[in-house]
Formats: sequence, structure tokens, C-alpha cells
Amino acid sequence: MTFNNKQKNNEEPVNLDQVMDSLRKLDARNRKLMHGMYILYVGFALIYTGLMILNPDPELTINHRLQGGMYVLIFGMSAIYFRYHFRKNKDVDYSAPVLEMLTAARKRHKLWTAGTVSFIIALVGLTDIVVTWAMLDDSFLSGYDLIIRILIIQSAYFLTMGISFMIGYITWRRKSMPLVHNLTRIIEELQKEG
Amino acid sequence: MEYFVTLHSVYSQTAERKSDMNSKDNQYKQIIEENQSRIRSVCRYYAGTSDDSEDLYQEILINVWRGLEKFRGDSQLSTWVYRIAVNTALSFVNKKNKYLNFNTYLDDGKAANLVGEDREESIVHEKQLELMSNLINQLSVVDKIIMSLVLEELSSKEISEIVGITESNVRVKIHRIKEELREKVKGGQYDF
Repeated sequence: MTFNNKQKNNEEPVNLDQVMDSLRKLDARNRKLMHGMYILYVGFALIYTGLMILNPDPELTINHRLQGGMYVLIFGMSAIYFRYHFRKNKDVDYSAPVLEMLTAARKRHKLWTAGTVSFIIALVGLTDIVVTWAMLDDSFLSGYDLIIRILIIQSAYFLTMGISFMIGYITWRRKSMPLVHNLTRIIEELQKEG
Repeated sequence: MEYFVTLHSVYSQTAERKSDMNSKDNQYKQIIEENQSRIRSVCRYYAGTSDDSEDLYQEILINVWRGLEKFRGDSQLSTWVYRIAVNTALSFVNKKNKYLNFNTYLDDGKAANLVGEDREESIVHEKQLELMSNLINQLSVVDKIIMSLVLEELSSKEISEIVGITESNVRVKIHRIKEELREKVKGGQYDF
């Protein structure tokens, strides 16, 4: 369908073909990405279990093993998260009413949901703890005060996280944001009385 | 002895699964046979060419098969099929990367339903049908979805179940769209 009409209030016309085309491409891309990430994190979890927990090397201290356990937990959590999103993208329900299907699609492509925010906070926090602990344990910048060492580690860690977030945000803004806006307009038009 | 019991249990489970699959096959075939014309209509509305229409038809059949296990009988089977057909049509993208046209293949009766209650007053000719098709093509996305279902002569209740909005909202929207269409053709060369 080509919808070349002008919407009310002089808004840009909504081209549903483009919306749905983008939706399908994004869903397929996300499915692939989520599945790839799931495999990657399961792999990491298995490697870390072998190297840091099951490894009989006597040089591995209890601290190393505990840190390894935390890494395995982080990788496991990430794998479950990506698995959940992979399944959510896979099971698009075409038998739902149009409004419901479009609302679910918009939710899938939104930048933030309560679940995602909670998960990211938990993951970033846990990773911060284990990275800081591991670096202090390995005598990183041992000549400096503990506070200075912690501050440097935290700055580097949150700078890395900030850059990662910006890359993710720019990608979302370019690929998903126009789709979310179009879906929102269609949903609002459907819900509007008359 | 235990081995034979296990073997029998495995055999029974396999036979049960086979029977379930046969029953799903039969149910599927029946649904498609009963709703073929509905699915074909949606394909004609949403697909620009016969190739597109065929691709879309295949895709709808696949989604009906996938959705069969989720059908709980909450709505009429025809409504459920329409939902899948419309949702699939909305998601459908031409593999050749062309945009699809929304085809309003109106006949006299269907067009009359749009422009007035009195069929005699609304006898339309070829040019009027063309004009009506063009006007419907200029409607917004949502209005087109609604009109495609109105053209299928579905009730407001059925449309509300397919689209997921209230019945009263469907009625208000249909009234408004009809008014808009009537207003657009009023006074022109092909006034109804």
C-alpha cells in the first residue's frame, strides 16, 4: 500500500509499507543479533566456568574463583536476557487484534522498558563490583591510594559504559526511533474516537 | 518385560502425537477451505500484482498454521482468520522491494454501501467506481484498514474484534469516513 495522503495537522504522511518493511527487517535483524549474543554469552559462561571455577590450577585463589563465579553469573544473566528477547521476537502473534499487534511491535522497539532498565542497572552494577574487585586484587596501580585507584577504575569503567550506551542509542535513533514514531501515530489514530 | 512396557509407551505416545498432527492437518485444511475467499479478498486489497497477492496468500497460510495452536475459540473463526490475514498483510513486504497498492475492487453494491443507504440513489458507473477507489486510496492508514473490512461487509462488531477498538468507535469512524467520501464527491462531475 502506498499512503501518499497528508495526515491531519499537516503531519508527514505515514507509509505503512515502509513502516512494516522496517518492522520486519528490524525484527529479523534483532532476532539474529539476540540469538548471536545468546550463543556468545553461553560460550563465555562455559569458558569462564572451565577456566576460573573448575580449573584445578593451585595458583587460582579463592578470590579468583569467586570472581570467576560472578563473571559466569553475569554471562548467564546476559544469555537469559538475550534468549528472552530472541523468543519474544520469534513469537509475533498475528492472530492478535491489529491494535494489540501494533502496540506489541512498538514495545519491542522502544529504547527503554521497565524490565530493560532494571536488568541493565543490575548487570552494570554487578559488573562494576567484580571488575573493581578483580583489578584491586591484581594490584592495579598499587602505588596509589585505595581511593585514587577506585576512582580511576570507576572513571574508566563508566566512560566505557557511556561510550557503549551512546553507540547503542545512536543505532536505535537511526533504526528504531522513526518506526516507533510511526507506530505511535497509527496507534493513536486507531484509539482516537472518530 | 519392562523393555516391552517402555516400548509400548513410546509407541503409544508416538501414535498419539501422529494422531494430533493429523487432527491439526484436518482442522487446518477445513479452516483454509472455509475461509479461502476471505483470505483472497484481503490479498486483493493489499497486494498490487497477482504475484504479490500469491506471496501474501502463502504468508497468510503459514501464519494461520503457526497460529492454529493459539486459537482458543474466544472469537469466531472467521474473525480470527481476518485478524491473521490483515496483520500479515500489514506486515507484508514485497520481496522485490516494490510498494504495494491498496486495491479497492469495488462493485456496485459495495460502493453503494459506502455512499448511501439508498441503493437506487447510489448507482455508480465505471468512472464513479474509479473515483471512489482513488478517494479510498487517499484515506489514512487506519481508515483504509477499516474500509477494507467494511467493503467485506463485516459488521461493526466483527471489525472491532479484528482491529481491537470499541464497536462504538468503529461506528463513529465508519460514519466519519463515509461523510468524508460523500463530501469529496459532492458537486463534482461524478457526484453520487
